Amino acid sequence: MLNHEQDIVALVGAPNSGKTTLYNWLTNSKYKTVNYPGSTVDYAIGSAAARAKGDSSKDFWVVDTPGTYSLFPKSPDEEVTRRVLFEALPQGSVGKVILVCDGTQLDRHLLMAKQFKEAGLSFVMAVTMRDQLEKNKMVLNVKSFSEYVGAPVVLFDGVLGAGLIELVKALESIQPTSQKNSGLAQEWSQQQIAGAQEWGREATKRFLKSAHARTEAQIKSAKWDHFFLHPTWGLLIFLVVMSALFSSIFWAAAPLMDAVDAGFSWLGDAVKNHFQTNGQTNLVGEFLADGIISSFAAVFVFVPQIFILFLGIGWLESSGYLARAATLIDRPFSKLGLSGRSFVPLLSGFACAVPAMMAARNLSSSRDKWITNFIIPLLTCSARLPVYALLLSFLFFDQPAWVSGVVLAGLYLASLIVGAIAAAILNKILPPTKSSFLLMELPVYRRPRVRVLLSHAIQKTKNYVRRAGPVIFAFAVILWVGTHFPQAPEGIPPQQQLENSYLGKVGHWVEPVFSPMGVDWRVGVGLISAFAAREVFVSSLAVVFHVTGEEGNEDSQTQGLLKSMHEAKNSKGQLIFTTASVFGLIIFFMIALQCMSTVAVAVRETQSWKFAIGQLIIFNLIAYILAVAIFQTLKPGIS
Amino acid sequence: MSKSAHAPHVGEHLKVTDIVGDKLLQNRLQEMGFFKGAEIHIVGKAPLGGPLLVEIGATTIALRDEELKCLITSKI
Repeated sequence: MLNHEQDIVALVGAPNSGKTTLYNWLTNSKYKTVNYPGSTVDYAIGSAAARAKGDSSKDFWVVDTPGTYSLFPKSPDEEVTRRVLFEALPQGSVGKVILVCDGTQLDRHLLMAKQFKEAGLSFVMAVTMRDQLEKNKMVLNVKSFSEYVGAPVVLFDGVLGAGLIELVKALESIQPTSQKNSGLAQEWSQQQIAGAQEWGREATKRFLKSAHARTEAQIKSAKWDHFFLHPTWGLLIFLVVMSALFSSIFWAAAPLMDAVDAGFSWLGDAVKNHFQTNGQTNLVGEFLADGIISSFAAVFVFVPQIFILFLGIGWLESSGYLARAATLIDRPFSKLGLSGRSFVPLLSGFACAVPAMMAARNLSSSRDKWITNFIIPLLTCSARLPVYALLLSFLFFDQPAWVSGVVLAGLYLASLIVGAIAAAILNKILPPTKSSFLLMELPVYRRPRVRVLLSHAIQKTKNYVRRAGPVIFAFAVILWVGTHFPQAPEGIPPQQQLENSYLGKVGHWVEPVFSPMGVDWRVGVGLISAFAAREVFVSSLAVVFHVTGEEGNEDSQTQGLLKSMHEAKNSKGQLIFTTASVFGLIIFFMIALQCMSTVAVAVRETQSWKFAIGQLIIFNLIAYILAVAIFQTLKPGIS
Repeated sequence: MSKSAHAPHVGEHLKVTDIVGDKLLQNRLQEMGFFKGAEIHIVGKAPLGGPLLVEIGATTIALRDEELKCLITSKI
């Protein structure tokens, strides 16, 4: 797809230097996320936008790399930057580099210029924040500076795009890197780094004239931090911001999720009406509707929440607040073997474990990352909500609605506590390492650009669907096949079909496992089905307890299901759903790792089958033991 | 001059006299802009016993206690 004769230009620079803004200007915010082979970190690549093509109108590709302070990596994403520069990409080799340096912090950003020179990399320097420099009357003698650095230097304004054409022209003026003599020897010594930084500070002193040491924005941000990192106010603001993000994930997403649900239902019904034999939907129709379309629905129903999560986190990150949040939470987290940076992955876990584990990639310490990834599935993800909603409605059917609400909030809190306990235990068990550090730069506060936010959120959501989608879909289809074959003759009611199907037989076979929990094979089928996606438990119960209700009327279906649950008896004539057994089920769902997508992503992110399988076994075992214990303890004398 | 770490307090202006400790950490501190002779300002401490907020030049960086200990400083 890529024309290998086209130049590939890499953008390299420190975090918060304006790299991604420049990338968006160069490519018009188009990008394709590409996975670097053998790594879990992605990089973004896009083709140059028309306005960026300069005189020759030559096409070129731009790669945005993860922010790095040095060509010697100290974290997985810095490692990707190094590899992008020095190893052949699947698309070709990087021929030219734009070193992005924040003009308002120039003295600290010139280290890599020296490293590039030593490595023989062909580069152009883009000095960003040009608008800030002008506003604060800071003047850079570009010509002399460029001579000192030994490479073309262009001032760039990320707000209005001024300097873009000059930048492209500068790129055209340099020769591509000769791959044969580029590369770096081992890690620089302290002296080498000190020397290079000294060189950088010297340059700034000589060529950047400014009236003040800091810009207005820097001074303002420092003032705001008195507030945002204040012992009392800081924590309060943190709680408010997190609650806002949290609630928007659920409430803002709800109408969208209903729309997605309704859309797929409509499609399913349309298909069922179309594929009919003798006035009734035939097998093809059922397969397409309940097998395929429902399985797609299972993937897409959570997309609104995932999207809003990415939007929210993206907003927090671009505004600069996220670094403060990570700083606030760092100490308590460190006590649990996590890091302040684990914060975003863990927060994401409340929507879904898949993006959460993907977000854990840039944790520099592999120990922090391990513990973070291990406890992510314990956080109450969105898929558990329908299950909790059903079970709580059952338990509190005669109580006012707010009781369920409070208990639900309690369940969320409980999952946090369980996660914290799990982290603490792992922290004690795992051997300690030294490589965890924070060293968090607090960027200037800035107003996020909505267009960029949206485009990034959409891209990340697409990634999510690509990662989680196929697994959920595959398992949902397998489940459908498992419940519909062997086919019962016409006229047999659905629950008997289910009983005689493969899954039903499996359910019967493992019933002895589930009866200590107080439930029978039918709930067992539901629990097994939940392995495709947890929310499938609810629809599975609806089928197995033969609830029809009115088509499309979800409330009547739920009411019907609740009624059936109140009456359902096992083969011994005992009620299946009692306070004790339902409580047991709730605890089971809280801890069990039932989502195969999570297992798939865990394998990929930790590059270890042992980790994923270990996680699966440990959590399910503990969940089972607790569910059984709870049922056995609570059952005597309670309804 | 004694090499024992001076426990920095909020509000202090300090001068970095040496960078010690884990080699990787030393390099990272330097790469982020700390150097012998640098003047730093401890502007605050995050709540819950959290990291110290250290101003160096135009930048503010949050450092854990053990990371700051790698910077040997003297009061200005």
